Amino acid sequence: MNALAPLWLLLRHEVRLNWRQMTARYSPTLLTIGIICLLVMTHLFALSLPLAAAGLNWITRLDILAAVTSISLFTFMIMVSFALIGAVQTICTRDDMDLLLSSPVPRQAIVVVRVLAIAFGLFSMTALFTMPFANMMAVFGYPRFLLAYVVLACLALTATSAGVLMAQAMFWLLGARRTRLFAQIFAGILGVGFLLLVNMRSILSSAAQNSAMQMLGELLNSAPPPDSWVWLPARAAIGEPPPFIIAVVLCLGLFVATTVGLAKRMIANAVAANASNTVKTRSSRALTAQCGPISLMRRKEWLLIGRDPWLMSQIVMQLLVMVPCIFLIAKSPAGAHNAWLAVVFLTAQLAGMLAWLTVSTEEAPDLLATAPVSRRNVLSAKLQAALIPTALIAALPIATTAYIDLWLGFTILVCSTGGALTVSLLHVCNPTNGKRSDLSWRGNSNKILGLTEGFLGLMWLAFSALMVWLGWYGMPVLLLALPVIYGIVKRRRERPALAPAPAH
Amino acid sequence: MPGNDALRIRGLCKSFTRPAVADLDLTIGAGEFYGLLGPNGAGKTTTLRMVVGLLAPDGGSIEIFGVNALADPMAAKRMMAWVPDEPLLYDKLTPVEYLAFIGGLWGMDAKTVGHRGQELLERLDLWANRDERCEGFSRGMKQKAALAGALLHDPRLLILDEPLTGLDAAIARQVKDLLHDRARAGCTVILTTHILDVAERLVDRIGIIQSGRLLTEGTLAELRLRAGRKDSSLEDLFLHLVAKPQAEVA
Repeated sequence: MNALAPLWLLLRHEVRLNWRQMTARYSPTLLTIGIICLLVMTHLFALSLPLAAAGLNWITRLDILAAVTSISLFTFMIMVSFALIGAVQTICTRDDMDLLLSSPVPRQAIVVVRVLAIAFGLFSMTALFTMPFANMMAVFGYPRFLLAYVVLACLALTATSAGVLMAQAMFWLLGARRTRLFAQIFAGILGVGFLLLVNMRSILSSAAQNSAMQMLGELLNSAPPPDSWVWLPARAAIGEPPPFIIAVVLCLGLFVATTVGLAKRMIANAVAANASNTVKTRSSRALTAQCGPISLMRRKEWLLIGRDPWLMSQIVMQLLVMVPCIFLIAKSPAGAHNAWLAVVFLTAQLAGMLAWLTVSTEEAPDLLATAPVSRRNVLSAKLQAALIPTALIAALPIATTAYIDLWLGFTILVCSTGGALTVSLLHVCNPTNGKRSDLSWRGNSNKILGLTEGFLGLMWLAFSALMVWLGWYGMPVLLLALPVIYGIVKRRRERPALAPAPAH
Repeated sequence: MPGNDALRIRGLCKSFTRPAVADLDLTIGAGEFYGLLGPNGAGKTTTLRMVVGLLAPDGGSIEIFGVNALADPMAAKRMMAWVPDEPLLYDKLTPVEYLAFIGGLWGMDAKTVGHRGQELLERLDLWANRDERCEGFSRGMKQKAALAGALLHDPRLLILDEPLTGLDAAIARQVKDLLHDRARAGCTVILTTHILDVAERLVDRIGIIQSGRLLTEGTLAELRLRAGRKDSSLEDLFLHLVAKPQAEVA
C-alpha cells in the first residue's frame, strides 16, 4: 500500500464526517444553497473595497499595516479559540479514536489528519467571510491580494498549532475531564463573546464609541515606523516578498513540529481521556430524605441539572445571547427603563429550557412509567422543577423594576409568569425525545415547537409593552388572547412520550 | 383460582403497522420462573411492555395477582418491577442515589431503602462503586444497578427483557444466581432471552411465542414429549417448533 494511502483515506473520512455533522442539522441542499447565497452576498459586499480603495489615496502605509495587524490579530484570536476547542474535542470526544488507534494506520498519520482537519475548518470558516475581499481586489487589478489565501492558510496552521499546544498544556495541568468541561464552556463563552463584539456598535453609547476611536488614534500616533519588525506579520500578510516567505516557512515549520512532536503525547491523552470516565461524587442526601414522589422527582431533576456544569453554562449562554437586544431596547427612543421588559422574554426562555430539559430529556421514562406514580404527578414534578428556579431567578429583577416603577414591575410580573407558565406547559404537552447536549439545538428536533416557544416569548413581551403603553387598558387585550395561547400550547393531542397512555 | 396466578392474560391484542400481539392467552402461576421465548419480532417485548403498563393494548385483559392492571395500574405497578435490556438509569446519579430515588417512587421508608440498598449493592459487587456516577459504569455494572433498583422494593412479579444481553460470564452468573434466589424466595420471575442455555437451566416453564401468538408452553420435559424429541436440547426444540406451521404445533 502507498504510504500516503492511509493519509488520504483518513482525510476523506474527516471530510465526510464533518459534512455529515453539518448536514445533520440542516439539509444538504439547504446548506449548499445557503453557502452559495452567502458567497454571492459577501462578494457583492466586497465590491465596495476596490471601489473605495481607488479614492483612498491619502491612506498611509502605516495605516494599512495597522489595519491589517488588527484584523489579523482579531482573526487569529478567534481561530486559536476554535482550534483549542477543536483540539480538545478531537482528543476527548471522538468515539472513533479507539478504532483508529487499533488499526494498522501509523499513529502520526492519525494525528496529522486530525489536526489538519481543524486547520482546514478554521481556514474555510474565515475564508468564507474574508476571501471575497481578496477576490474582488484581484478582479479590479490587484492580483497580489490573492496571496491572502496563502496568508490565511498560514494563519490557520499557526492558530491550530497554538490551540493544540494549549490543549496539551491544559491536559497536563487540569486532567482530561476538566479540560473537556473547560473547552465546552469556553466554546459557549466564545460564541456569546463574538456576538457581543459584532454588536459592539449597538451596545456602546456614542460617547464610548468616540472615546474608543480617540484612543485608537492616539495608539496609531505612537506606533513604530512601517519598517519596524513589529509590522513584519502585517507586511507578510500584504504580500511583501521577504516577510511573506519567512512567514510561510515559520508557520509550516511550527505546524509540522507541533503535530509530529506532540503526536505521541496527543495519543496518550486521547487514551487517558477515553479511560477516565469514573466520577466520584459524595452521594447527595437530597434523594434519601423522606418526601413525597413529586418532591422526590423535582429534586432528582435539580440534582441532574446541577451536576452538569456544561449544561448550566449553556443555559447562561443562551440567556446572554439576548444581551445585545436589551442594549438595543435601552438605546431606543422608548427609554432605558423599558429595557427591563426583556426580563419577560428571558424568563420565558429560561423556563422553556428547563422544561425541555426536564420533560424531553428524561433518561429513564420507562422507569417513571412503570413506577406507581400517576402521569399527572410526574408532569407536575417536571413543571415545578422548571418553574421554581425560574421564579427564584426572576424575582430579583422583578423586585428591582417594581422599586423603580410599580406598574412596570407589576407588568413584568404578570407577563413573566404568563410567559414562563405557557412555555413550560408547551413542553409538557408536546414532549420530544432529546439529549441534554442538544439544548442549544432543541428547536431542531421539532422545528414548529422551537418556533412556537420563541413566538410565545415574543408574544408575552409584546403584551408587556402594550401594558406599559396602555396601562390597565392593555389587560383586556391580554385576556382576549388567553384562549389563543391555550390553543397554541395544547395544539397536539398525542400522549407525552415520558408516560404511557392510560390503558383502556 | 385467579388470585394464585401472578399473571393472567386473556385475548391480548396490539397492532402497530401489523399485528404484534394477536389474541394472546397466558397464565403464569405465583412463584414460577417463566421463560418467554420467541424469534425476533415475535411479540415478546410488546407483550411485556403491555403488562408493565408502558403500552396500552388494543384489546384483552391483564391481571396481576388478581388485580386488573388496566383498570387499576397503580396497584399493579406496586407489585411489579421491570428490567429492560437497556438499563433504566440516570447517568449523573450514583447507585445509592438511584436506589433512594426508586425507593421514594415506590413509597418505601428511607431506612429500609438504605438497608436493603446496601444489601443488594453488596450482593452485586457494586458497594465499592456506591459513590461513583453511573455515567462511568460498564454495561454490566449498569445492568446490575438497574437490577438492584428493580429488586429494591421486593416485587412479587419481576419482569426482565433480555437481562443478560452484553454481560460477561461473571456478571451474567451473578445476575442468574440472584434471579434464581428470588424465584426460590417466592418471587415470580418472567424472563425473555435469546440465550437458550440460560432458559434451559433457569426457568421452570417455557412459553414460545411467534407472530404474537403463544405457540406452545410447558416444562422442558413436556415440550420434549410434545415434540417427540426425548433427548433434544431446548435450542433444538425451539428451532424445531418455530420452524413448524402453527396449526401443527397446536
